[in-house]
Amino acid sequence: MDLLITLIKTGLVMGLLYGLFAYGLSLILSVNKVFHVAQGATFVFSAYVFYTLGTTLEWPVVLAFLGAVAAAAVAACLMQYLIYVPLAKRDADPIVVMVASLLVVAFASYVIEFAWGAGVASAAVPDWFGWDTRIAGIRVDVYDLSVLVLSVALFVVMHWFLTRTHAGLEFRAVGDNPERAQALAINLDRVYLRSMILGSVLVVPPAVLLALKAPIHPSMGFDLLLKAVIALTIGGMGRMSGALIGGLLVGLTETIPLYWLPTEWGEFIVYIVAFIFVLFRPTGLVGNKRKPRKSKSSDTSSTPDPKPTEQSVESIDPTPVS
Amino acid sequence: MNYYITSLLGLLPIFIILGISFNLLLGYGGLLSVSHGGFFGVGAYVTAILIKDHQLEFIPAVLAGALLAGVLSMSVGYAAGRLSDEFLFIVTIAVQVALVELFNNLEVTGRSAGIAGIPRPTVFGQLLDTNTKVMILAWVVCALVTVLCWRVVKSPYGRLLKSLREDVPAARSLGKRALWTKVTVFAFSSAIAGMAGGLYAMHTLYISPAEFTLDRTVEILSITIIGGMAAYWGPFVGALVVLALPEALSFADIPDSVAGPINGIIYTLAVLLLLIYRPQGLLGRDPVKVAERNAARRAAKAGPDTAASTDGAVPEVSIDLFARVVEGQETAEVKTLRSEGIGIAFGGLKAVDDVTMSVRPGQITALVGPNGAGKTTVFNLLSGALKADQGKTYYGDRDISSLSIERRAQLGVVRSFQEVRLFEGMTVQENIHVAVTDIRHESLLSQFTVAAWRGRRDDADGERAEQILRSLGLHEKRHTLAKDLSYAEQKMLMMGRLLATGASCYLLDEPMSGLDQAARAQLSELLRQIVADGSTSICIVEHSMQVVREVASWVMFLDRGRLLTEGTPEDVMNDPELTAIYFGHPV
Repeated sequence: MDLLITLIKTGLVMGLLYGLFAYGLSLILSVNKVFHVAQGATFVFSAYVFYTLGTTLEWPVVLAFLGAVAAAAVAACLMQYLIYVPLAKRDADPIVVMVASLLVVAFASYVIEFAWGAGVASAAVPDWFGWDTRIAGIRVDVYDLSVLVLSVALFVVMHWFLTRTHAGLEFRAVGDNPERAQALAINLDRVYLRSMILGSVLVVPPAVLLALKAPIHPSMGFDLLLKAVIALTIGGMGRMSGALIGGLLVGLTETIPLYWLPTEWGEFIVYIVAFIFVLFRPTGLVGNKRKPRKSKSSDTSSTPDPKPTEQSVESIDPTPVS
Repeated sequence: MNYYITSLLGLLPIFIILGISFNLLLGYGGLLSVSHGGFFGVGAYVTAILIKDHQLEFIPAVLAGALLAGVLSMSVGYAAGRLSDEFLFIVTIAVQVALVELFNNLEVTGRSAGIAGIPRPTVFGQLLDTNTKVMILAWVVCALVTVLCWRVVKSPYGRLLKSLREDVPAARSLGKRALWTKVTVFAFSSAIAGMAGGLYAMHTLYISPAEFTLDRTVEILSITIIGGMAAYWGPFVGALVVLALPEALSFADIPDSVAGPINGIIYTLAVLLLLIYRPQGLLGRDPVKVAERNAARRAAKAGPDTAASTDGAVPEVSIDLFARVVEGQETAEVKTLRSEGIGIAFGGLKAVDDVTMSVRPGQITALVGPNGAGKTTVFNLLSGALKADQGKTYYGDRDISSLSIERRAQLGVVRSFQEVRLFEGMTVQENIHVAVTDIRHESLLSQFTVAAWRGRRDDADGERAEQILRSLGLHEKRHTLAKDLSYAEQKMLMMGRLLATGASCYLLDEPMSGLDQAARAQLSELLRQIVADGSTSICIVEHSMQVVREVASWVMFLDRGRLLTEGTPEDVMNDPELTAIYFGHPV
């Protein structure tokens, strides 16, 4: 029984990390309308920057963390201006954009392998990180608490940002109807850049915490990316809470079966569950419920509908094609 | 040096095969699947296991590998048919990772250690015991695959793939089976990747899960993009570049530990740059320039006396030619499309409420009513785009209420869309050719019959397409891309496409919108000709009362989802209540 509760705890903690990653993806998807696969590159890059600053250069953890945040922001700017903007200017097919984004992840893993070596790297862990306690009989350590506190804080802050601040409203406006937003003198390029940076920076806490918990390696970008994407799929892309719910579910799906199955099958189960969701409930758990339609939306209205990839911040419809 | 060259020459055909199969999926099908590396692995493992543990000969082993890869990928194809691009991407990444997990965890695949000591292949009793012999085998298979896929790409199936890439709802409205086609292209492409896997196992004699990961898929993707998507010989160039790169690097005295990542950095960077600055790759040609060059070539061939086209050109419908085309179609039994009490609600709003109507053959029926009355929704219900909450729909004696769009189209009920929805990237002739081709001759398997190989039926279909084009006055433009036609010509082409399917019941959603007097007259004449034989029926949604008076012999008035009345145009238009509803005030 203890094992089960520990598994649940581990699953929830990992789930929160997946949720943060997924949240960034969701934000960028709804505002920039780009499936920012390259988020995986930002993730692994910031983990390695943290490692270099905190371990190789022996900076204090907090400074190293901030350094990683800065690195993520820079990476986001580079991706925006070197990849996404040129592609958008050339009217590139969305598939081409996704391929480019995927290639950035591959490119980043090769660069990291080149600069830091192909093996794993273990970040130096400060002493206070080892402190733990028992709550209700389960071992809870600084890592668990940090994840919990950080994720909750970030979700709350993001929610406040999107609903209460002017900048956040701009995000939602641009996500909903870019032309209209532009007509209201909202600077689209600035909003796109901001949301890219903000979405990218959200992966730094997971990156840093994971670096402190376990050794890092150049290809960890892909792994977490896939989990986050599955989190979005299961949770639903309609609302930001979808990222959180999806993340938690992925975390739990990964760990709870291990009570009965050998460890190596945990991930496999997640993929099967994801596949099932995609086939039978593509909108996810809290994604927007579409009206009872059988076909693609453009068939059913009397006026030509926007392209199916058109999405709004609070109501993204991945529009599975029937 | 010799060793390197032999190794390179041995790997090259394998990667060419991978590139061709991936190109089929991405370049021609427009489907981004990131699981190719995994299916490559499935083929490799199955072949290796069958040859090593079960002493099979090469050919049955590799075919078994291809078969398993193909069958497994059908589930992905099914997902592809139902999902948008992002979701397909997600699903295929998950499949890729799941496959590698399988390789890593199963006993039979040797877990993470893989399978070593794979024996050399035996073909027809002959053991291929040297690297050179295995290399020749690989090139032979590569040649076969090249020819095979070339045929597939140029066949009706290839044309269908192109059309699905352009516009799936339009293709379905012509009766094409979009979902099944996507499943088959996935299966075919993955099976070929599986074959490449079998060859790979024979080449390296040792395989492990690490060879078939997402990195491998990215490599295959790079091969396709560098060579050029949908450029048939692209993968040849792409494979050469990607494979020769590490060999070239080894001459530059780079230490082994960094050679790997540097190799990766170079080709991912190359692909990124190509994607941004030259998306058609090294061999691909700029589609706009291709179209222009083709058009110029045709114009030169046709000679100076061809009428130059101008914007807004109205095609001349040749009535006699047209009548002959219509006659040439089989006169099937006369059927009426009718609905009984159909209704549908969206949320709380009843968009269509208890509508009972019939579209009688031999005449043009008009569906009129104010905006928002639900006319397009009725069409959607009749054509199968929407499933009715209540009521039934019949065509002839058959209850078609639960049939899909394509099934109804195959039975003869087709519809047009308000937005024209042509296959814009395809030529005028190809648009009609796709529609003319019977779906049975478009399936993947049917491309491998002797008859299909000779291509006579496809040529006959092409002839018929040209006939239709001639009767519609579009023959001179037949090699123009559909998106370059004038609006009136596009509408004509849209009608031609529907006609080409040999349908007997046409549901046309505002066919006259955006056309000027001359074009309207042409289109009206065409419509009248279509119903002249008495077995075909047309129902149009129309706003212009003038048009209704000119072409329709029966009018149905819809308001707020209900069929208020029906009758001859005079009756309906002289009814003061209806006029009040329609114009918002008494006239």
